[in-house]
Amino acid sequence: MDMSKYRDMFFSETQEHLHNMGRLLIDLEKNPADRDGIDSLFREAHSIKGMAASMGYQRTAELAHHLEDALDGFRAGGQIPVAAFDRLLAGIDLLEGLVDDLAAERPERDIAEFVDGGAPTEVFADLPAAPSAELSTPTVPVPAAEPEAASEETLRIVVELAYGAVAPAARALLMVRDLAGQGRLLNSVPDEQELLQGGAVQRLELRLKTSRPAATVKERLLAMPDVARVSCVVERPQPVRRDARERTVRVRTGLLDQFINLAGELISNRYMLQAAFAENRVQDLKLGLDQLTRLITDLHHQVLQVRMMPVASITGRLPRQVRDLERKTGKSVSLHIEGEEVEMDRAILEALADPLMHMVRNAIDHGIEAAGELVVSASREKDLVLIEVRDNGLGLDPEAIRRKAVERGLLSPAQARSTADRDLFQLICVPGFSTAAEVTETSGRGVGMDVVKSVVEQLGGTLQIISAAGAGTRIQLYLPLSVAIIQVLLVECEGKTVAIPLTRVLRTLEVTREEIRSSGRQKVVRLGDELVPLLSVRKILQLPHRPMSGSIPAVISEVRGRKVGLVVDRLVGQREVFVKSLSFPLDRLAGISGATTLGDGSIVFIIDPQTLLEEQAAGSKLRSAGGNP
Amino acid sequence: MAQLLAFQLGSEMYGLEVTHIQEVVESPPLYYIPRAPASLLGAINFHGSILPVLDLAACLGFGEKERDLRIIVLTPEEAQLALAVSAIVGIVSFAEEALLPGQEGQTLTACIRAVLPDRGEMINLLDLNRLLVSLDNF
Amino acid sequence: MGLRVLIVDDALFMRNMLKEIFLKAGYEVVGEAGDGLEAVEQYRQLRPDLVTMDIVMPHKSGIEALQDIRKEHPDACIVMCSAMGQEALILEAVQAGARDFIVKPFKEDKVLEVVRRIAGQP
Repeated sequence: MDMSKYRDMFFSETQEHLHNMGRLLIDLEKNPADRDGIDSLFREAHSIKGMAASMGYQRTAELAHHLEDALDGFRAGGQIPVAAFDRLLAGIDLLEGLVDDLAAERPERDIAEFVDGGAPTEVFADLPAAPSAELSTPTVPVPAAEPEAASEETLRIVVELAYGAVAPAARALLMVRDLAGQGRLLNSVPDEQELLQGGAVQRLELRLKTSRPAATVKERLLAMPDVARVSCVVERPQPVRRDARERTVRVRTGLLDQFINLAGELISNRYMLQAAFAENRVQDLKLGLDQLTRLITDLHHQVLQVRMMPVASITGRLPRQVRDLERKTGKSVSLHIEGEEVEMDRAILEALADPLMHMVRNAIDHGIEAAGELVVSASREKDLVLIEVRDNGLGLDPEAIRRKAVERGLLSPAQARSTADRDLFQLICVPGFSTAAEVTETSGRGVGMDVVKSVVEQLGGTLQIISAAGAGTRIQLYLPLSVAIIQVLLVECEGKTVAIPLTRVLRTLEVTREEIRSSGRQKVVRLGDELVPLLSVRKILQLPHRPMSGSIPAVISEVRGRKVGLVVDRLVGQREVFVKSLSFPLDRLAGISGATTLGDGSIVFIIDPQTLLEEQAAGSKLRSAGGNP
Repeated sequence: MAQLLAFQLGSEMYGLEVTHIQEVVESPPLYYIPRAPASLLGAINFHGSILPVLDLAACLGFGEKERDLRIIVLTPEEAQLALAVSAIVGIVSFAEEALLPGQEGQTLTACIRAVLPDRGEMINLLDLNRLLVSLDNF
Repeated sequence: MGLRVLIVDDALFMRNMLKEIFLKAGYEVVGEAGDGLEAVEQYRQLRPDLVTMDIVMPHKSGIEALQDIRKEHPDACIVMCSAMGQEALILEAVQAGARDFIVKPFKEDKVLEVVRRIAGQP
């Protein structure tokens, strides 16, 4: 649509609205509770917003929206507070300035200072929160839980609307709202923002965490008008989810220039190689290939740079969150954030945002007593980043965890006695295991550490808990800087190749038959002064058994803080690979963290030994203990 | 007129609308997927995308061992998935009005959306939606 | 073809934009109203096939006008026009009988998609 012919109309109408706004405001100052006056003022701002948005004048639209929101708040309150007049007038002045800019075909002037409230914000600060334009996925607090509703499940719901449904987007929106009231809505496609754009919605896909049975949720949906079909299935818990929405990153232009230079160099390199090849100059071919290797290393490095973001991007929300929690719990918490400038891959940071928040909540809910200190820090440790959440509160009580572990059948009394505290603390990451006696609103039912742990592990990291009764708790996450490109070890079993992230490998070794001992029914090998159990990867992957003979290659890895030896047929070698994340249905398979394509086009899946082993263990142990599935 | 790709699953004829199909690939190499359920035959490298290949006959409970080497790749809007079938038959044109509802019960377990009578034979129209939902519980 | 439309919006700017979209698509714009009172009046006289109804308007809001029109003509086909941040009003309108909603700033294809669906045209 050609908008240029609307330009003049925009200016004439907007001038009129601005004029009206000024006049109305002066009248209102004499009579600040004149409802009709406030209403009119609100409508004027609303009209300007609509027109400016249509013309694509972003700042003008944003400022008008800002004023509209403020006025909407005053409308609800019944009057304009005396202190707000100056700011509203300043807002109108600024709008006039913007319109002048547009008329003169200048870029719109900056409004951030005004909107963010470099000026007196207190005036608007007490207004009901304005609907933020950035509000993306709806998150709704978990409703107060009924005491017996201990088992929450995630439902994957697909609703199909009838053909010719009335106002399908609004219907879908009502469903989203209704479902959000029945539990915690993890996501919906389309999401609320998209639904608010209207249009022909035919299918709605949602994930809902709820304690209600799937059948009840389904029935309720089917009872709504214009619903053609509903499918509602229970999803196996799998915390890291990669949604299909496109991700964007901001890139410094300097970096883009470097890319262009690199592309140029690659082109010259190609010419050089072509010429060397045509003239059969082997020495030059070698030179060209060396140069190519260097260029690719540079390219790799720069691509990684593009994806890097400071940790501040996820710690930024913490002060606000801590303040809210302080208010809710009545505790006084002093928060220190360190190392915000440390950079990590954007995908890792995004995945960590929720776990971080959860650890902070846990620390305030269960760790810190009436008053205390909370430190969130990030630091580089060689190729890893250490993120630590540390409080000086109650600390974990190893004896209470031992008791509980025995009660729940996770450990035998003998095991409980012999397990070191450090390993014992890992048990708080077992789903449903919680030592918090009471259930609090903020941390749910003590669930959550299991989610934290599995997110960290899916990212190729590890989690450690250091604590002592009365001496506070430190939760340490060791994470790779980047997930997109990682080092892996390729191993082979039964002619099949799988990859193990190098961050999961302590070392490799060849074990001879003589070095293998039997302890109980478990084969072990002595490594320094440790006895390391040997586990067959064939068995873990459910491949045919093969008797061990000759020297046996093994990969030493760590599972729950303990060394294990993973026996394979053959160690193929180390590679640097680009990890592709998996989408449905491959993302439903446990123990696979991604896949990669090798130079010959073959596909190799990247396995996470710990998850694979825990899946096996969970299968037998928890079932026999009658615990939660 | 709509079109479907007809294929054999065991002794039965199934069909899938061509709009759901991106491509039929001639015997691509299958790569190992660790700890995959038996109904996943492996993964293929489809223009750089990693797609699992589902043995449709096994998945729907047909005991058939015969398999066409050609693999049906679904459009990415449907799912990142490819299907192996007993034998690919060919394209059949049909009118939406000619479809008959499947038998209650049967439609659920065998993922049949509707049935198309075609020259004395019955073609079961695959219910892709239901198939995908059933994959949710791997 | 020849769908008869009544456009209700207090801003001439918005009315003109919608009008252009409708005329280009071959619809007939039979009337325009600048507030809710006028809308109810015009509906009585013109009996259009479709009404696009702004929500925020002086004298009588779009939702009140919707309710008044539907009281007299229960099968009136009314589409609400809303701006960002008016979700509560949209839902209220749909529950009060609006057939659908379109969002400002107007996008030609979105507007026509909604109208065609309601009019049952391909």
